[in-house]
Amino acid sequence: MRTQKRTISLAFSLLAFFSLATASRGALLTMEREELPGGGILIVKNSPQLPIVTIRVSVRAGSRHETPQLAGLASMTAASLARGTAGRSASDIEKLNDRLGGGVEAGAGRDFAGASLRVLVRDLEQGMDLLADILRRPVFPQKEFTKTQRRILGGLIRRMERPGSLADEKMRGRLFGEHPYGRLTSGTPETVKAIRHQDLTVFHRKWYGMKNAIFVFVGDITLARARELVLERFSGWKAEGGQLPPAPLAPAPKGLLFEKVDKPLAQATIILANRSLRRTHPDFYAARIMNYILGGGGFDSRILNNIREEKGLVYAAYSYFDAGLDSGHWRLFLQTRNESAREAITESIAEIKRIKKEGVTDKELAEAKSYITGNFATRLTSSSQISDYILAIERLGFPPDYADKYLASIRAVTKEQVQAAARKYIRLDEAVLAIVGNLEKTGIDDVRLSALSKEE
Amino acid sequence: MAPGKKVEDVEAVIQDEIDKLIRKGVSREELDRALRSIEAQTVFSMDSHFGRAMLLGRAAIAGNVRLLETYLPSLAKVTGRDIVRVAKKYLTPDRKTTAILIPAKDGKSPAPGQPPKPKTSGDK
Repeated sequence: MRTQKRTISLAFSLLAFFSLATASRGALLTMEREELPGGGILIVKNSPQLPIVTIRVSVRAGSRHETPQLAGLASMTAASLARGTAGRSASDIEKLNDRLGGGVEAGAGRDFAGASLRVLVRDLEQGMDLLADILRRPVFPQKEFTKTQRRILGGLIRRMERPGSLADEKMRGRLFGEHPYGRLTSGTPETVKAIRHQDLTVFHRKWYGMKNAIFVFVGDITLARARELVLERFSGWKAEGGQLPPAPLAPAPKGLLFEKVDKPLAQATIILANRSLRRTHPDFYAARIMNYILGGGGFDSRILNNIREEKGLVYAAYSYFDAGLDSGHWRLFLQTRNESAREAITESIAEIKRIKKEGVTDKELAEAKSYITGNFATRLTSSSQISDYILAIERLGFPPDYADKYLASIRAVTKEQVQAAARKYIRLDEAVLAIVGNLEKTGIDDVRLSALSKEE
Repeated sequence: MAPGKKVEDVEAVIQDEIDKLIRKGVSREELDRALRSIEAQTVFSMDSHFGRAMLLGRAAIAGNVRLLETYLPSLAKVTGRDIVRVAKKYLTPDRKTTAILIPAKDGKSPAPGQPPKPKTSGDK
C-alpha cells in the first residue's frame, strides 16, 4: 500500500539521519543566488540531510509602506493573506495547513512582509500552490476581515498591559517621531479601527509583486527545481508600487528626554535608548563587541555584573543595537524594584561613562570576540534559522559569503575601535529614558539624571 | 479569550467536541490529515540540534532509542476504531482537570501562596 510505503521511507530517514557522518565543511554557509525574470531574487541553500524544504517569500510591503493614519495596515494585510483566496476559504487553508504539519505563516515587519512554509519534500508542490495562492490571490473576505481586526485589537489591548511593551512604544515614539521606526508595526487601537476592508485590497495590489520579492529555499532542493517551482506559479505577478526612498528622519532629540508612565506595579521597567547606526555601517562590528562588553553579554557584561551580581539591584539588565536598514537605535533594558530604579539607572550611566572614558581590556576584547564568533554557527542549526539569516543578509544587500566576512570583521576589531564606538554610538545627551512603574516609589529626579547624563 | 465571552461557554464547546468524537468517531479524511500532520511534525522536530536531542532523549525515556524506527509505522496502523476506544477510556470526566487563568481586577497578581481555586469537574 502506498501509505505504508511512504511511512516506512520516512521512518528510515528518521534513523538514517542520526547515523550520517558529518559532512566536511569549507565556507561557513554556501548558497546560490540569482535574479528572476520580472525582478525577483531567488536564493537556494541546498542541504539534503532531511526530506524537508523551508520556503520564505519576502516582499517590500512592511509598515513603512503604510500611512501613519492607517498604522497597522501592512501587518493586517499580511495577517489576512491566508484568510481566504479566490479558490480557498480560510477553513480550507487551515485544513491544508494541518495536513502539511504546520503550514503557512504570514506577517509584516517594518520594511518587509511575507509568508513562509516548511514542508516535507513529498508536499512541496502542494505547499508552493498554497503560497502562490495566498500571496497572489487573497480576497480578504469581509467576515474574516472583521474577525482579524477584532483579534488584532484584542492583542493590542493585552500588549499595552505589559510594561515592557508600553515602555518600548513610548521610547520609539519619542526617539523616531514620525519616522516608521517611531511607531509599532501593529498600529494603535485608533489606527487599526480606522482600517477599512478595501484598504487591504489596495495595499496588496500596490506592494505585493515579483519585482519586490525575495524567494529563499533551504533544504532538500536544487536551484533548478526551486526556479521551476517559482516561475510556474509566480510569473506575471505584478505590483503597482515601486521602491520607496528612505523615510526622512527628523534631527535626534537633544538632552535626556523622559517618558514616564505611572502604574501601580511592584516593579519598574526602564528603557534607556538613543538613535544609532544602521546595520550596514562599517562600525557595526566594533559597536557589536562594545555592546557585548557593556551590557549585551549576559553574565560577561559590565552592567549586569555591577548592578545585578554585586549590588542585587535588578532582575534583568541587558542592552543591544537594533540596527535596521535606514537607521537604528541602541537600548538598555532594566527591570528593578521601584525603590531600586534610581540607583540602577545611575549605576548604568556610570558604566556607560566608564567604557567611553577608559575603553576595554585585552581580556574583555578577546572574550567578546570568542563568544561572538563561537556562538555564530550555533545560531544557524535549523532550516528556519538559516533561511531567516539568508533573508536578512539579502535584505541588507550583503553578499552570499557574508558569514565569513562577518566573522573576519569581528576578529579584526581593535580596542581603540571599541572605545570609539562607545563614544560615538551611545549618546546620553541625545537619549530617551522611558520608565513604567510606581513613579513615586522610584523617586526619579529628572534634573539630577539630566545633569548626570551630560557627555564630557 | 475575546472580551465579553464566558469561560463556561468555551468549556461547553470543548466538552461537546469530545462527546462528538466518542459518539461519531472520525472520518477517514480527518484520520489521514492527522497522520500526515504528525509525520511531518516528527521529521520537522529533527530540524535543529535541540530538536534532535529532544527526540532521542524522549525515545530513550520511553524505552529505547530504537523506538524511533517503529514510531511512524505504528502510527500509520491506527484506525478510527482505535481512536474512539482510546478517547472513551481516557477522555472521561473523572480524569479531567480544568485550569482557568483569570487576570486580577486591579492589574496585580494574587499574593503568593493564594492561588485562585482550581476548578475540577471530577469533584462534582
